[in-house]
Amino acid sequence: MIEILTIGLNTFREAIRSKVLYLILFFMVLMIGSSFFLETLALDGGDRLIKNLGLSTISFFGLLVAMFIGVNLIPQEVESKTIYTIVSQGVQRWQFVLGKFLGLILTVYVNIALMTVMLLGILLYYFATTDMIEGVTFFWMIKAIFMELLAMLIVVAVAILFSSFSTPILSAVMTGCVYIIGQMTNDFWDYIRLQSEKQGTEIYCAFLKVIYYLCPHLDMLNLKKQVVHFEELGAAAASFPYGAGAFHAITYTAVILFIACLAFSKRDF
Amino acid sequence: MKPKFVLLAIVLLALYLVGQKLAWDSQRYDYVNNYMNRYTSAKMRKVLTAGHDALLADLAMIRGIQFYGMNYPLFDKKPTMYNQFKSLADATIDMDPRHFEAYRFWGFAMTSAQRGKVDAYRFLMAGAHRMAATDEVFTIIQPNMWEVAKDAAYVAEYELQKATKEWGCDAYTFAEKARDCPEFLHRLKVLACRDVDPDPIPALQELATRANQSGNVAIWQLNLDHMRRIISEEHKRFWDAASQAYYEIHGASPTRIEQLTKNVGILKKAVQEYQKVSSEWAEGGVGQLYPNMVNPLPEKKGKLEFRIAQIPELPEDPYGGEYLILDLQGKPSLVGTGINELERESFLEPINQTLKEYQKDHNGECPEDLDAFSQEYNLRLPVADGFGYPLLLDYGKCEFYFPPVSEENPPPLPPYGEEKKTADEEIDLTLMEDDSADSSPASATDEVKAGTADSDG
Repeated sequence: MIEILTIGLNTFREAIRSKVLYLILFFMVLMIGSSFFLETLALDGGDRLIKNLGLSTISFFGLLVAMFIGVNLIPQEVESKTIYTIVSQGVQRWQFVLGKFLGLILTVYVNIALMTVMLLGILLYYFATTDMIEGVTFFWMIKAIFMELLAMLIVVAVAILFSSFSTPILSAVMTGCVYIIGQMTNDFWDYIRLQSEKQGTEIYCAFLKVIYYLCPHLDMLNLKKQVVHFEELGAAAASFPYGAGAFHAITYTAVILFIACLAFSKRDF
Repeated sequence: MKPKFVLLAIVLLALYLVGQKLAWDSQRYDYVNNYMNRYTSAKMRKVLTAGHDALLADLAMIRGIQFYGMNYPLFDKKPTMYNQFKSLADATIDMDPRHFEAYRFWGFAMTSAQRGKVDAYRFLMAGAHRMAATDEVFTIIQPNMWEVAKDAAYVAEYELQKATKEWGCDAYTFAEKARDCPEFLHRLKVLACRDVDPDPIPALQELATRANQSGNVAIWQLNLDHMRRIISEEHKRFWDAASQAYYEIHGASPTRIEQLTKNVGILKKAVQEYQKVSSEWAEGGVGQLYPNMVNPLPEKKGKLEFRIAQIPELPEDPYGGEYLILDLQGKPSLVGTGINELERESFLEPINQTLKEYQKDHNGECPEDLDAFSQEYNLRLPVADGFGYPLLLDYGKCEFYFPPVSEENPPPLPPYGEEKKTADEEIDLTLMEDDSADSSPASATDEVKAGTADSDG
C-alpha cells in the first residue's frame, strides 16, 4: 500500500509540473470565466448557462487531463527507462499501475476542485447581483460534480489501461472514443431495441448487446443534463440512479484497473 | 512568357472565379444549422453532443437571439431567413427538450413573422407537452410548464386573434396540469373555453367550485366577478331577444324595462328565442333558461351558488341591482344597476370616512367649504358615478351620496346623460384628469354644491 501511495504522490507531483496541465487549466479558467460574460447574452437563461457551461467544462477538461497527461504516464516511464529502477526496488507491476492511477485521479480531482470553487464563486456572484438566492442550486451543483468525480474514475482508469499497452497518441484517441461512447450508451440501447424488432437480426443484436455491456455507462453519471430541471422539480420528484451509478463507476473502474495490471504485467520492456 | 501560357492562365483564373461565384451563390444562405436539420436527425444531433447537450442548447439559443436581432425584419420578405431561424429552434429543443427559456424566446420571436404565428403556437404547445412528459427520471410535470402553455394561449388568443378558438382553451387547459399553475389561469381558461363551448353552466360550476374551495378573499372575489360577468352576458342575450320582439311589434326600441317585463307576449318570445339558442349547446339538445345567482350579494367568502331560471322567473342582476333601460348617446341601452351600486360604495366609503374625520376634528361640524375640506384632507372628490349621477352631500346627515338610479330620473351627466352645453351648467370633466390639486377639487366641489342646493331645495 505504501508503494502505491508513494508512486501516486510522485505521479501527482510530476503531473502538476507538466506544462500541458497548466495550459489545460488556463483554458478551463477561460471557459468558466467566459460564462460570466455569456450569461448576459442568454436573456433569462443566464444562471442556466453558467451552470451548464461550468459543469461541461469540468467534465470536458477532466477528460483532457486524463487524455493528455494520463496516457503519457506509463509510456514515459518505459521510454526513459525509469521503470527498471522502480521495478528493481521490489515494486510490483500492479502496484505501479495502481500508483499511477492514484496520482492521475488526484491530479484530475484537484483540477475539478479548483474549477468547482471558481464555478460556485461565479454563481454566488451572479445570485448576489441579480438578488436571487438559490441554495438549492448549490445543492444540485455539488451533486452533479460528485457524479462527475465518479465518471472521472472510469475515464482515468481507461486512460491508464490504454497507456499500459499502447502508444500515447493511440491511447489518447481511444480514451476520447470511450468517453464519447460512454455518454451515448442509453441511445445505443435504443438502437439495439429498434434493431431487435426487425426480423433476422438476432446475431447482430447479440453482438451489439455484448458491446453495450462492455461499454462504460457514463450517461448514468451525467447529472449535468438534468441538474437545471431537477432544481425546479425538487429532490423528491427528481429521481436519478445515484446508487446504481456509483456502484457501476466503482466496479467498472476496478475491472479496468485489473485488466490494466494484467496487461502491464505481461508487457515486455 | 509565351502568349499561350498567359491565355491559359487567364482562362484558368476566369474558370476559378466562376467556380467561386457559383459556390458563393449556392452557399451564402446555407448555414450549419440548415445542414444539421437536413442531414441529421434530432436523435443523432443529441448523440453527437456526447453528454453536453444542455450546454449546446444554451449556446444555440444565444445564436438564435443574435440571429433574431439581425434578421427579424427580413422574416416576412425572405422565408429562408425564417426557416433557418426555426430550424435552429428545433435543433435547440431537440438537444434539451425541457429548455424553458428557449421555448419562451422562440415562441415570442416566431410571432415576428406573419407565417410564424401558427408555428409559435405549435412550438410552444409542443414544448408544454415535452415539459409535461414524465418518466422514471422526471416523475412529475415540470412545475413551470404552465408559463409555456400560457404563452401558447396568448399567441392563440391575441396574435392569431382566436382564428382557431379551440387553441386558447386547449393551451390553458393544458397549463392547469402544472403544479405551480397560478389561480388566475383557471379563470382565463374558463373565459377562453367559453368561445368553444357557449354553455355557461360548466364555466359557472367551475368558478363557483374554485371560489367555494378557496380560503382567499381576493380569489373568491375574482371568481364571483367572473360568474357575474358570465351571467350578465346570458341575461343580455335574453333581454336582446326581448328587445327584438318589442321592436318587431312596435317598430321602435323599448325605452323602459317595464315595456318588456309587463308584456307576456314579448317575454314568451324572448324565452323561446333563448331556449332555441341554448338548445344548441345544452345536453340532449333541450333548451334551458339563463342562470341566476342564488344570492347576488353574498357575504365575503360566502358560498357562491347559481340556479337555472324557471319560467316565469326573470333575469336577476347578478350584482344585486335591477335591470333598467337608460339612454346611452341617443340609443336605449340595458344596464344592471348593481354594478353601479358596488362602484358607488367604493367611491363613497373613503370620502365619507374622511368626512367623519373632519367632523371629529371640527366639533361635529359639516364642512361648508368643500374646496378647503378636500385640500385639507388631500382628497379628490368624484364628480359623478359610472352612470353620470352627480355626487351630492346631505348636510343633515353630513354624508355624501348619489341619487338612486331610475328610468324616471335619468343621469344628468355622461355617459348616460347628455353633456350640458350652457355656460352656467357646463361641467368641465377634463379637470378630473388634471393632476393639479387646485383645479380638480374645485370642479368636484362646484358639482357637489349644486347637488346640495338641489337636495336642500
